[in-house]
Amino acid sequence: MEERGFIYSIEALRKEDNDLVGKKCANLGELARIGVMVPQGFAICVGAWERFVQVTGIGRAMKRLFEEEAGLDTPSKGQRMSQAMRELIEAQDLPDEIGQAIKSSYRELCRKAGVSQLSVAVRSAGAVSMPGAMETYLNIRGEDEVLKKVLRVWSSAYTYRAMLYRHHQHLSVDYAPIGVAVLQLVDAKSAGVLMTANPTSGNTAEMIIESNWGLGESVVSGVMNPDRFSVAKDGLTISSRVVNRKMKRVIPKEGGAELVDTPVELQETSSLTDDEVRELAKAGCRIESHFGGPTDIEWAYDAGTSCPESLYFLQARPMKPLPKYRDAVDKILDMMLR
Amino acid sequence: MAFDWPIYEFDEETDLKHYKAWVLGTQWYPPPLVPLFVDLHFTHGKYGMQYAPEMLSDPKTKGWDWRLMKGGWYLSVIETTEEEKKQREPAWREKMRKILENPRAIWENYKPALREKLHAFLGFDYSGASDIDLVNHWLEVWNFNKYVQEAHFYPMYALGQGNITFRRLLKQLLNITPADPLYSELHSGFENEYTKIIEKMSTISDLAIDLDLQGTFKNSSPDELLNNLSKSENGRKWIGHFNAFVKEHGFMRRRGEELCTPTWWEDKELPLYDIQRFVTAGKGIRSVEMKPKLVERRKALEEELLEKVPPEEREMFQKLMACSQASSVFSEEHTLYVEMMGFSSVRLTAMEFGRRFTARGIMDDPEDVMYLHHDEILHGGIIQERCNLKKLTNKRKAEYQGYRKLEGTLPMVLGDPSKIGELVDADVIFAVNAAPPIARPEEVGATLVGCAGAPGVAEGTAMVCMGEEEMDKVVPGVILVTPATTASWTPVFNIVKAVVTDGGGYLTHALIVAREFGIPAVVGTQEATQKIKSGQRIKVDGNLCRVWVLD
Repeated sequence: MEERGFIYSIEALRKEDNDLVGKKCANLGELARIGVMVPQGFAICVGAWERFVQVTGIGRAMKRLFEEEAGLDTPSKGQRMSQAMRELIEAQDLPDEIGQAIKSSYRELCRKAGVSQLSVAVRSAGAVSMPGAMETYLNIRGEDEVLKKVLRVWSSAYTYRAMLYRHHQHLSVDYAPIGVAVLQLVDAKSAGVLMTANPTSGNTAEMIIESNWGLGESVVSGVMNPDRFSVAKDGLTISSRVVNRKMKRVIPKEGGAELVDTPVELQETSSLTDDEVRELAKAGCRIESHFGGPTDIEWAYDAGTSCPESLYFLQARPMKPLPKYRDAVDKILDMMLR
Repeated sequence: MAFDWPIYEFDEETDLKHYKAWVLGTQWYPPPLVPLFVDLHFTHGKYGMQYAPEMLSDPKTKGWDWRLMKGGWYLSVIETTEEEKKQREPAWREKMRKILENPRAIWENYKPALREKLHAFLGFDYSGASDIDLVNHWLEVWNFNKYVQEAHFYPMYALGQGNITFRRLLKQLLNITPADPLYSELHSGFENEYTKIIEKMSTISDLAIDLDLQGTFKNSSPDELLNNLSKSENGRKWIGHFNAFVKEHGFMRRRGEELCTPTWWEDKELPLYDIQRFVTAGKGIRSVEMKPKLVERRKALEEELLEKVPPEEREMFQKLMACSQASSVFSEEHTLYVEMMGFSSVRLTAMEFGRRFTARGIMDDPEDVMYLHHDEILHGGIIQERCNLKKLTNKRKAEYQGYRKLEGTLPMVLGDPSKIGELVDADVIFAVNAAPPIARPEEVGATLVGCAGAPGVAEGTAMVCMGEEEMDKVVPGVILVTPATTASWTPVFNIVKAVVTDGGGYLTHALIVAREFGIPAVVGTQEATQKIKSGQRIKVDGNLCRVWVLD
């Protein structure tokens, strides 16, 4: 494994590195290993956060905040505590050994991409995945911006909802070491999620794809009604395709990304071609068989290249337990008994 | 009483306590039944009726129970308890799942073994066999008919549930009822070995026309037809084809369902009657000629309907449709194996005993063997002249003849008729016999209302036939009115305009065959043969299940 103290290259990571770099990074490493495309990037390990706490000495202050402001039971108290914690963290400087390592890795990323100020996404990677609980920063350019966002990602482990989530999961609330992924931003033509089983019916014979124009955040956050495709695993045939009216999409803007109106001519156009759907499904089968069960996957089609080279995977994690599937035969039998 | 089987005799006290109602089984075997047939039927048939739901672990039914009353066969359903329902359901789901994945297989899998064994039985050298060979043959044939009934009822139960459920789905999704012509089109145009024989009959009839023999057929009485044909070269050529046809399919019988009527091998004038009617009617009027069109129409319709089914219901629709269609094919085809080949193997063996018993003076007439139980035949077969079967046969013959006088007077239902709906709900196959009537005739201004119909409307002259003995009265173009029809009536469906029956339910033979032949039918009218007279003009509306006398 290529190690630079606190930094690991994504391709070098494996599932077993979960505790080292967080789940998102470890799973991306696995994806790279089975040969599906993931963005170039690196992981900042959980140890970096621990080193940060140690060097800055904020551990005691954090503990005190917890004791003084104790209680997540009311939103007002919880919000207050969260804000204090985040301010405390973000007010610190990154220790030099960490800052330099990140900067040098970013520069190398730029060099490989042949771009001086490469646009990246800075994402949280908890050892336990907490979907949507922590922050992600898109379209970040320049070393100093990246460092700032790393601090922000760390502090986002103390958003009120992240703490509440840990509380409900019986995890430690005041101690939340997380990894950070810094990945080249995929300039997505369209993006979304792929579930290798139907999460509603529990049918494991079909995959569900949800897709929108632009970056995948619009689909993940659920702000709009995405296009929806079902693909039968057997033969990879598209068994249903629903093209919704997609009013909004997320596109990069200076220093971040924003939700904007979708051009009218694109709103009712399918955000994926049949070939793109099938290509996704094909990869979905490989990923699922590698992960050994139904998998929830984030993906993006790059605007600059064409299918299949344009397909990138941004995240993969096991799906939540599925409902017991009732197939056509079950329904027939139910009807016979009525 | 009950041909010396007190155990089968209907007992008002216990049988109405344990069962909701009993329905007269007119559909296959019009009363009265002969003792040997009762024995075969109550030994193996009843076993099969209970074997099937047991093997399927059917949650709702344990099959039927049967009783005899005045020579009539009455049926009821053995319903399961709530606890049994729960217990049986998981295994039933597993078994039905396999069946639904490939519904055609369930019956097809039985056929090779049936075919092989039954052909061997039928090819037995009856007259040349020693007494001991014949005894052994009797035991073998008798026992094998148990397997025949397993093959009969297991697919019937499994597929019948698919058929009934498909009707509900059709109604629910597309508002198509079984009376709708579309329902029939979806279930027609399948290969089945039984109708193939009728098709061959049709081909042989065409051959007679092509050989310029139509005149001879028209101008000869049935008993002199063969003789007249043998006078010309073309006639002799035709007889050659006819003989080959009878040789191959001679296990067929008129009243295929019972044991008393001869096989074609025993009386080849039987198929000749039908052929004579086909030839006289000429080409182009027979329904089997429609067959290729039916296949085409069905396939187009399947696609058309599937398009209208919501995508998430399509797989379910397709699977149920396949099951329902398999049920339809089975319904017609099993008769060939079970009642024609299976029962004929019993009849031919019994009749050989009958001839030997008569020759040895222990019975008066070979046909009297029909008044014996199967073990009595065995007894007689082994000890021969050391026993006297006459006492038994004469006593039971008298009992049988007493029942014959009651023909048409047996009640259709014993117990509470309003409970029949519940029995049909518990046991969908029971719908073969009975279905709750749709409406009362006076409510809708019709002469008669049936409980189910084959689609289409026809007007014509009624021909009332009280039984198979009168089948020969049927001439092309009439509307057949009869208590019930059985498989042996199938050729008649080829030439009549429509069919009306007293008895019947959703799965009745008459309906299935009428649909296959594309003619309207109304079944379960209860009193068609009483309210309609031969020669009256009547109108039959199979879509509405109504019949009007127009004169």
